[in-house]
Amino acid sequence: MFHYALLVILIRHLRFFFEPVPWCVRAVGFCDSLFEVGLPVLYVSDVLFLAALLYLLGRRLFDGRIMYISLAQDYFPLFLLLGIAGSGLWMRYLDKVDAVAVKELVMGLVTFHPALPSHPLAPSFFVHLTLVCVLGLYFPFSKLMHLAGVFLSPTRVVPNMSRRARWVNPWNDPSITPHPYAAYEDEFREKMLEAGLPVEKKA
Amino acid sequence: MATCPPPEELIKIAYTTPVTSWMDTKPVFRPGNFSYPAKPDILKYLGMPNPREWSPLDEDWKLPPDWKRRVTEKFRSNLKKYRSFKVFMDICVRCGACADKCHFFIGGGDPKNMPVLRAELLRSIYRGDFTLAGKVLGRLAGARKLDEDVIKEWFLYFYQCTECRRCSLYCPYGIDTAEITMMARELLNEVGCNINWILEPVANCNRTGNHLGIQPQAFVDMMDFLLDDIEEITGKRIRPNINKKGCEVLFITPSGDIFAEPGIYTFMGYLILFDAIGLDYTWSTYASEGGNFGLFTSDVMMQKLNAKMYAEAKRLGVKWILGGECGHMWRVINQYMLTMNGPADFLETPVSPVTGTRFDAAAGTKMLHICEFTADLIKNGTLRLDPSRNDNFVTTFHDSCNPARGMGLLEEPRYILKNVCRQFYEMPEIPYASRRFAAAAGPGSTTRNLPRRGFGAGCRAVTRSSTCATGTA
Repeated sequence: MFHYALLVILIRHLRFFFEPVPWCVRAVGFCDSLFEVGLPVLYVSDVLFLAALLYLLGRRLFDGRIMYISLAQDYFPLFLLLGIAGSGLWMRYLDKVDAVAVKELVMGLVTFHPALPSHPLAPSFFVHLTLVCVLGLYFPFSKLMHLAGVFLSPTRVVPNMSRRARWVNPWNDPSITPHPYAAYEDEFREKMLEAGLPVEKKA
Repeated sequence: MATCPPPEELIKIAYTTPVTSWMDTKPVFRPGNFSYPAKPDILKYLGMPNPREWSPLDEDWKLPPDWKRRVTEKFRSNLKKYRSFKVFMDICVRCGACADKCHFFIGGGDPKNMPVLRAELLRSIYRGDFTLAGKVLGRLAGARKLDEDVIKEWFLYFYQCTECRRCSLYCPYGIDTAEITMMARELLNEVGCNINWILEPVANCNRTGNHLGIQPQAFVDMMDFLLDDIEEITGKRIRPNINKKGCEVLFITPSGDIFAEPGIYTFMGYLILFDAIGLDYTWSTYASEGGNFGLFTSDVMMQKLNAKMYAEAKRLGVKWILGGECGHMWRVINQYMLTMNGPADFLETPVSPVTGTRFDAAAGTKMLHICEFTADLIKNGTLRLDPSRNDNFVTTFHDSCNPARGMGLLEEPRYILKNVCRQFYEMPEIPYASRRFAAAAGPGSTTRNLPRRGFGAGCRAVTRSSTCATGTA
């Protein structure tokens, strides 16, 4: 739920980066605000995103076993994302930030012609922007990079053909040999002969 | 000798975690909760470090003076050799999906048996010694210093993992706790902290060709007993080949099958089946062990013990090898054998002499599983089976961890069972097939039988999760 809500939110945010806004971004925004609750319209994905984040954090705080194994690096991204979500919600629903001014600012940055917007912007927007930048900075150093493991982990991608075809191991040591049959027979030859077993050397 | 607590006490499992951090909770050794250390003469025979008399109950484990350096160096070299190990050390996000999946945890409640924490025991040292964040931030990043208590902890917990890999099924990254356990055991081997239950069979297997130390004449005698039983029941005297050259197939099965119940029924089954289809095969007393306790020891030992399969196949001049039923055996054969002991150019891709089926899935190792072979026989209608003779049995199938999760052998055993038994029922959904609790074993399957440890854990776990378990386990 968290990841899908995040995806929807990211797609909706694209409307600040394009002029004219592409039809798919507007379509996502339309579906998201289908319930038409409140003004500014309440987006379903915002609610779900916050709920999912609170659930994940709650899981780490209230389930004894998960809390036992959690480290600082597990709590930090959750709090960061809560900060981003919180400041975003505050900015949109409480401060009712001027979306046109935001778009002016962002389009200016994107086209490399930065300019101050003509209307004043609520401070919560800058909080939101700062936290997003912190996330951007933190992401490459965090455990969130491990998402690559879903696609690259050896146990997930290696096919089960190790009986069919040989994987050559560069450091395999061919000098590791078994206890030789000759030594085995030397030790047990009399008993083998008595039991009627065939032997390599008679004496 | 430790006494076994009464059932009412055993079933009181608490899943609450201690108030202190896991890094500050020291391991507790009591009579009955650990496996006995390897005997010094076994270690000397195998050429492994630090043979001495010691007990985990002592304060001083008599580690060699340079133990810290040895462990760190081995860790470093293993990280270089095994890319998968490095990935698994880095990639855990502590999501907790594996936490309640280990039967040792479910049966005991000790949080360090949660796979995530079991891996953290090793990972915290990795972070402290090998990562920048760990060196700088220390405990905040989940790193800790390597001291003797850490070695003791590793000894207690890494010999409680049965390497069944159930946890890695649920892990979003597929982190293989079994591999982490194998690495930790290699580190423990460097300082001489290993268990006799594994190493004595390894020494036996090296010397006599099987884990139990059965000498060739004893093998023949035991087989004779079983042949007598078969003659009594069926009236036919089967005369199998042993150590004979020039046959088509070499058959290798675990020594447990000739040693005691219930393996001997399987063994008699092999003898009867191969006689019924007229298979041209031979047994071998030198390669009388399919299983491989070297898997539980180190990569070198695993390679050394398994190599005799190909050596014997070459000496006897067979075309391919048929393997009996054994979990750790097939883990090694399926996953490692071709790479470490191969290539097997002197053998051919297995072709069933009865049905003509060519088994390309085993084209590399040239080694076939008895279930694959038998399922093929049944499928092609070459066996005259009368399932009504098994109507007094209600059966289910409890997949073993290694053939199922390790090999993917899910359908063949079921196919065989369904064709020989009319009352076959699947176990309930959660324990089904690959998600099943393991039937077999990492520290050596019978270490589960230690009271208060695995057997209790396994039984309690299975009873909690499945309602019907009349099958083999």
